[in-house]
Amino acid sequence: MWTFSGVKYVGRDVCRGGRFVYVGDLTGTVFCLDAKTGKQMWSHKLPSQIDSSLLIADKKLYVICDNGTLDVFAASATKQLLSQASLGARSAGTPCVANGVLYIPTYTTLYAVTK
Amino acid sequence: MNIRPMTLTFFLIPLVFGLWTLDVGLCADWPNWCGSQRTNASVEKGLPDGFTPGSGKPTTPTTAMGTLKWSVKLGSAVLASPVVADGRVYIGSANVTGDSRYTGTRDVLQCLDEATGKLLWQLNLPPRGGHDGMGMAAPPTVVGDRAYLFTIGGTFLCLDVNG
Repeated sequence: MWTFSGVKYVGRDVCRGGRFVYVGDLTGTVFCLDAKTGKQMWSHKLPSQIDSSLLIADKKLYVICDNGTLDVFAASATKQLLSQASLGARSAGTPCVANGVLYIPTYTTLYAVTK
Repeated sequence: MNIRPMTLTFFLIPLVFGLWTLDVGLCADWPNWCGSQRTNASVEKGLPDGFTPGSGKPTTPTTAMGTLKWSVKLGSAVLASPVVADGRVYIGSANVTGDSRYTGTRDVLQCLDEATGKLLWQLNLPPRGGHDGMGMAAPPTVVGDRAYLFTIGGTFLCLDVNG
């Protein structure tokens, strides 16, 4: 259907939310692509490489970097960074959502978080 | 127009349920890697815009940072991702603060209470040479009372979720 060659060294899985697919690579760049055409909607360079898969939930994109920052974007056609915060430890795990709770793993701690 | 009660009920129940799910979102387990749809996407709503155990840095005035429900100490360099099924949270770890009957750094799978984070049980694998402290990385797939798991040593396990 289409190819996208902007990524370098993708370590984990692509995630899909609505009209877009999202992927992070080992240069620490997160991409939002149109799922139908592969057209890049936006990208954002993060502080360090992305070892984990990205998570889409509640119209938000959750991205954990290897250096332990959690960046949250609006899952939309235009880039909007909602928050950038330190988790206090490196992280290579993938966050997940279950029954209204967001689970965030780091090298040293598993956090269960609600709004 | 004469509408029979049964006909009305037939249409009303799906309508009410549909509106309710639209409003609050669907709540669901995350019983395997990438979630039940295997897309790394959830239909749930009402989730935080960010989180930090320390000082956060929200970047918009409306950002709602999350609040901590519970946290659990893992090993020192754990690469695992959690899964959640039937009231239990599963996470790979490296037995630093888990089951005290087993000493030394070894790969473990911890099963936690979803409501409190309390350790319910722990699978202890035999110590392996040259341990890097990364612990068990692959999350299990939970189906009913069974959890299926690949260990870092290449063994395929089927576990009873009741420990």
